[in-house]
Amino acid sequence: MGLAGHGIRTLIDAHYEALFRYAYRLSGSASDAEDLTQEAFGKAITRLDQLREPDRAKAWLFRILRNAYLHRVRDEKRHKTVPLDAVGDVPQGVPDPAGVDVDPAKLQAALDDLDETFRTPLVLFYFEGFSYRDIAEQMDLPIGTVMSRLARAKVYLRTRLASSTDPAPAGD
Amino acid sequence: MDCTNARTWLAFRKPGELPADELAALTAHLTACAACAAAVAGADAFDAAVGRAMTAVPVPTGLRDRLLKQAAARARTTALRKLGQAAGIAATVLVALGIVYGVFVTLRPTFHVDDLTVREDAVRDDPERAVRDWLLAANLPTDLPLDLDFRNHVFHGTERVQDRDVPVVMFQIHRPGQRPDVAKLYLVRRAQFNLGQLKDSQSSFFSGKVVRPSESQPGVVYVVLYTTESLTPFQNPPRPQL
Repeated sequence: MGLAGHGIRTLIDAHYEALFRYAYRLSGSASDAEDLTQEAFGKAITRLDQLREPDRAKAWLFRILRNAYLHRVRDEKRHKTVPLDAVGDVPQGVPDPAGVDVDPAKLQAALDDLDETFRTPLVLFYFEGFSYRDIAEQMDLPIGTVMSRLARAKVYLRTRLASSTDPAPAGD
Repeated sequence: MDCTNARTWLAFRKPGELPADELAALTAHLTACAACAAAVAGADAFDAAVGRAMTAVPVPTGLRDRLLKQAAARARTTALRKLGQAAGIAATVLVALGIVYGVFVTLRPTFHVDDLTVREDAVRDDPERAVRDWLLAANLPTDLPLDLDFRNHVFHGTERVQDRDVPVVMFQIHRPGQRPDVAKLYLVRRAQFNLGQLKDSQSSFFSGKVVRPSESQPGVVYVVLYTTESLTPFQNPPRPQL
């Protein structure tokens, strides 16, 4: 495989699981997640010389994957959104979901209904190792915007997970 | 810090990312406020539960092998593409070189022997005039500082000296059974050399003599190299006084 081959093998071994999970949480589908993971590593192979800081490989791969996902969403014109205006800016007195266990399927259903601009920071927030600054860099956003979106998305998530019945999505 | 502020900070809290002073104020408030402390505990539990659920995604069996296989295939494709690009570049360079060579071959002048014989005829017929014409064409003074006998002229042109082309006129005198004597008159331009330290010189066979011209020729200094005792054999005999 050569030096480049060795490099991509190391990247795959170190990050393929996290990348697949991220792709799954973004797309909501195991087959889409696998396609996205393959596409991300495929693009990473051709751009390996652009990875100047190996310590930032995870963030670099996550960014490639998100861009691939956004391309796909744009191509397919899939926009699922819940109006976050209905949620409010800052959480005040929102009840926590009963108990301390969250059903992963219910979580995914809530994420699927969330606009990508809120879903991505939320997913990255709960993945280990991503700071506000990392998320801001991933999304090319000011850090304050990321914090604001996260706060609102978390309120939405609490509301969805605490409710016994899911609200209907606003549009398709 | 009051409860409203505390709840706001809690909304933006991420471990390790709250400013130190705000963290201290929040901690102090939580110690004193049971309601906010309970809210923090609830938020922590919620975050932990969501975090666990968020990463609880089963990774398909064999995904790693499929990724590695795909990577190997892509690496081969990339290598082949790069090889193709390199071959394309090499072919382009070869074609360009071929074109340049073709142009060079087409444009280089034909060597005309008849032109050469005519020119050398003129030199042999009247070498003094040929040298004068050559000096004129080279924008050099035509009056040489010595009254040289042009019947001994064998060559005029340029010679590489210290990486510069220096005009030179050469004379030879043949002596039976011996190597011919030589005199070479160099026309050294001030524009080409620093002539401040120029002086006469002597080696095994040659003597070097610096001849500074008149003030009407300030741009050139003459240097004569010769193998004879003096320059007299190369000069015209003194004309009889009438």
